[in-house]
Amino acid sequence: MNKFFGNKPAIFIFAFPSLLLFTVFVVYPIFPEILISFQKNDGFKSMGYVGFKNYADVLQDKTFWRANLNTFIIVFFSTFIALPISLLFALVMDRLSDPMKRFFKFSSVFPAVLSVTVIAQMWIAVYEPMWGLLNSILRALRLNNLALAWLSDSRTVVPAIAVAFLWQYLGLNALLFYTGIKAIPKTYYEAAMIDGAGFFKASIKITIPLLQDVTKYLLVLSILGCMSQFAHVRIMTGGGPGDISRTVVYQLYYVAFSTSDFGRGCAIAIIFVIECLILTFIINKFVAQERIEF
Amino acid sequence: MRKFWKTMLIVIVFSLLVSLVACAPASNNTTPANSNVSTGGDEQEQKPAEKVRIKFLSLSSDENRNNIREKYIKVNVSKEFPNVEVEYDLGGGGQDYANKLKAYNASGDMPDVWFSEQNLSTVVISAGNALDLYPYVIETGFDKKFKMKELVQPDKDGKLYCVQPGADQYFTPRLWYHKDIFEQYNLETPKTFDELVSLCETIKSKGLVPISIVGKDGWTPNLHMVQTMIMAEDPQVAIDLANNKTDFSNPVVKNALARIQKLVQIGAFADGVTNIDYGPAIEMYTSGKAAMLAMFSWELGNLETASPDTDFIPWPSASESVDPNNVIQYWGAPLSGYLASANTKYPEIAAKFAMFCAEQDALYYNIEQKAPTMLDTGIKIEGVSPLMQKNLDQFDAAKIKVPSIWAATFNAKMSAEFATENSKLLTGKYSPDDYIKAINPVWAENFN
Repeated sequence: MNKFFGNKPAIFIFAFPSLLLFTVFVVYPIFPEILISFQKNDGFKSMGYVGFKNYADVLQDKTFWRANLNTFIIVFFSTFIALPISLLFALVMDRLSDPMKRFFKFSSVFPAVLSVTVIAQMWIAVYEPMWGLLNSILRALRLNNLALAWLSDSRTVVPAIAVAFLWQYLGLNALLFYTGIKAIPKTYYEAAMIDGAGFFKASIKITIPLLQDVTKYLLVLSILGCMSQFAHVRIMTGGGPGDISRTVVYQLYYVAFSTSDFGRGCAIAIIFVIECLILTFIINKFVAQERIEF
Repeated sequence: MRKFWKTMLIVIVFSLLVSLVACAPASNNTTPANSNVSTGGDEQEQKPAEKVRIKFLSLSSDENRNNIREKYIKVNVSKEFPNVEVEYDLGGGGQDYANKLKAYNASGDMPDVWFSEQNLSTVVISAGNALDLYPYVIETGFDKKFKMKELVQPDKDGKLYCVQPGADQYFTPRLWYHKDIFEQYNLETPKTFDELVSLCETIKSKGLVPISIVGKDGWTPNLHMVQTMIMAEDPQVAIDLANNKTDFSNPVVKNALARIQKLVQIGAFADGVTNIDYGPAIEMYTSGKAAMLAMFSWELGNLETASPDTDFIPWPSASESVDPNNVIQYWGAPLSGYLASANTKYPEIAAKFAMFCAEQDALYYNIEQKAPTMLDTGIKIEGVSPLMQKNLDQFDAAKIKVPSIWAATFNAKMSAEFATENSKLLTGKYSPDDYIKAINPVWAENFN
């Protein structure tokens, strides 16, 4: 069996279907996209090459930079707020009784399998300024000053979208952390208990360091997922008010499809690809370089 | 081993070539020769032996469009087209609909028939994806049913790309209000913009939303409020804008934007207005949460049914020289209506279905809304409600009628950027100067 999987043609045969799909639908489209990014193009026909003009226009566009900032705000929420919460959930889940574990596992997966439209509509209702759940609670607590138009206020709209997006995957991430925790040998904890370590010490000294691989996987998944954030923005605010809540991918979509400027849209796409490659490189460089084996 | 890698490489290259061919735009199989109406030689196309399937894309976010589709088109299509099976593609509304249609257009794989406004129609026509309906219009005598012949005249290129019911020409933006609420609080209807401002402040103090508008994607300012505010001060500036004789830096335009900003700042619209869609805006009015509604007269029938205490006022003027009763903005543009795909397999069926849709559209307005249309359906409109009669009388009496700038002149880019700027304006924190600075360069390209 080992000989079979060590055989390069066998590896290639197994990898071929996904490699083919990846090549056709991911790698191949990048080439015409690069070409279009140097053209004045309305999506139907090219009106000639314009050199780096599209790139210069994009880089001078304030909306593009705001879209980048919004995207990185969502990435920040994901990395520094949502992932630690997911880890905390996983640690707590590990300590629960079996029926509670089953309940939490179901609850964790449930939001992730719901349609984005359902999630976004639900959060629109939560944030509704006049009768929404959030403002109703705030008013009931006599915190009227905090009852805002969450999706129409430039200060709150991006974090509000980020919360809706991250809520959807909070449980799923917790579940992945939990499976990582289950893979850690119990003997480590037993030894730690004998040495007098409690829940927090064991978590910090054993669980979190040994979850490096899962953390790296979730970081890449979560950061790239946030980077390509589109659907929640489209449904919840349409990038508005104005262009305040646009993410990079939404800006790309707006420029290409709404203003019919596919040349500039493709330039945004290529810059976005470069941004994602840099981020992936940084994660690979600095997080969990060495594989941990138990 | 080398042979194996070579084989794999060939397979990948072949797959890429296949995908390249598959991704190529659909070829235009409707040559001028076969776009003409067949005269009996092409029996197979005229009377298909088996049911043919066509796709129809329509707006699905407003009640009128849904009623036209569900109660008229769907109900009557089997009688008119027994051998045609229609697949209904519901495209939502506003920017969602626009983007869906543009995505279809980019792929070249259009629905067989669809409804679109002028600014979207021009995109499809320039891409060569719209069918010339003129031969079919002449062949079927559809053109003879119109009271206003200009609506079925070919464009400068000799082609007619759009058929319409001719209802749009009667639509105008109104300020609807609840008579009961006005009576309850002893409120006077405003005649000037300043009176409107103080009225809104009074209504807000009573805990009601003064004016309900569709704020999502800047819909209400896009479609009429900016123009309404311009016309409130000087209708000639709106006419000049429509004819590209002025731009947004015109002081009258700036004042108009400032008036909208003022309304936002005094709380004339609901909290979170930038995220309020069409349906919720109507519901806010019909449920009595809002005292007034800024909306076109195409909703008149629905408003009367849902809120029998509804009445309207012409938009208040912002200048002593403008009589609100004398100035009116009308909807409708030559390319707003039903179009058919140039790439459809069944051009004749698609063209006839487009004309059928226009007729059903007109029937809906004649029967359900008791509203007149330029397309003569043969229906004698009787039992017109007093409110509809008042609307028509005021419409007819107005001496200055200005077409909708949005519907008649905006291209896709202008329309998108205008929506972005109007959405910002509705935050109340975006100055008219910033608005003008952003929109003028786009406006300069609009007529190119």
